[in-house]
Amino acid sequence: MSDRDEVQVARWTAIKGRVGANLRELRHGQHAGDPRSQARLSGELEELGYHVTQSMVSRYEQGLLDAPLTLERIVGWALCCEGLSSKAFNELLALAGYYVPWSTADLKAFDELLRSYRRLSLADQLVLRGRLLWHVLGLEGDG
Amino acid sequence: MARLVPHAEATAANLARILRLHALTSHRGEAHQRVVAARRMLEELGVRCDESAALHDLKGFLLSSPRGTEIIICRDLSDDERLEVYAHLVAHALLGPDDPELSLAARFEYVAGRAPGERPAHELREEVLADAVARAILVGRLEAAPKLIYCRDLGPGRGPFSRAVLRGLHRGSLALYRRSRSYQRLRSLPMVTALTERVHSFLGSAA
Repeated sequence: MSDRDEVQVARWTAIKGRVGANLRELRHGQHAGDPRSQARLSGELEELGYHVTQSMVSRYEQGLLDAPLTLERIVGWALCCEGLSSKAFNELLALAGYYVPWSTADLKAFDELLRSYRRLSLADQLVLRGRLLWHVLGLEGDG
Repeated sequence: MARLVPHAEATAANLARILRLHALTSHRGEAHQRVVAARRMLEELGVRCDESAALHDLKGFLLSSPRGTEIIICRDLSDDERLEVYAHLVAHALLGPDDPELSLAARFEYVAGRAPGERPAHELREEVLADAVARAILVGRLEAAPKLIYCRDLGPGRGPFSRAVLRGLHRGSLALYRRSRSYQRLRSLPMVTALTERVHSFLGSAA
């Protein structure tokens, strides 16, 4: 293992429990209603292009997996969750060591966008989510 | 300057101009050429367009962020429908936030009868206004909408008094346009458009 990988692994080991617990909370959501199942979340992550099986979802949530979750996967995972809000998003990324350079207006806009997005049908949500991921990451999408 | 697309005012003006030019030389089966021209213009002005999405309740949507703006259109739409969606979303961009930078926002165009029931009042108000502005774009006469929608800088005016009157008239026109469909129809009449242009030229010309 290279030095760089060791640093990555040590860093992930230090945060994986808290990140996992946070992701589980996001999946359960803060509001009433059934939480998104791990199987459904796994399917939706697959739609986004990330291979995360139901078992991996479960183990990540328990902080048991040693393979670090990339920024892309954390953001994609968060976007699939009912409990996501700008505040929760900021907390999650801060926990994972990332800073979101959004102003108060940006945070408000993100919450408003999430509200509109949740009113869409699942099929439309999937298309929007795929695009939104790249906008949130600030990267050029691949299609 | 509205900031859902990089150059909202120029985009709307150019889209209307393209549609006006195509209307002058229209033949049957030209819808495809019109939509291709509209799309090309949007992309030249920095809006990414994708007409291949598998959407269900949406005809299309606009998504903007500091990273850029993109318009996604359902792959099942006809050329005319795609053009309508482009015009609607550009109209939303004109009516959108007034930020110095592109804002993180989305605007949705729903298939008729499939819009969610509980939409916020401000969204519904913007929708009604966007309908009217999109009609003006589609007939190639952006000037059929109140000037403040597509040109927020009214210019220097002949003097302070003329400038104040001009601004008052335009604001009044915009307020009426927001509230009254009858006024929207009246405002789109060529005679009324010509009259308002004349008043604007008279009061708005720099001394």
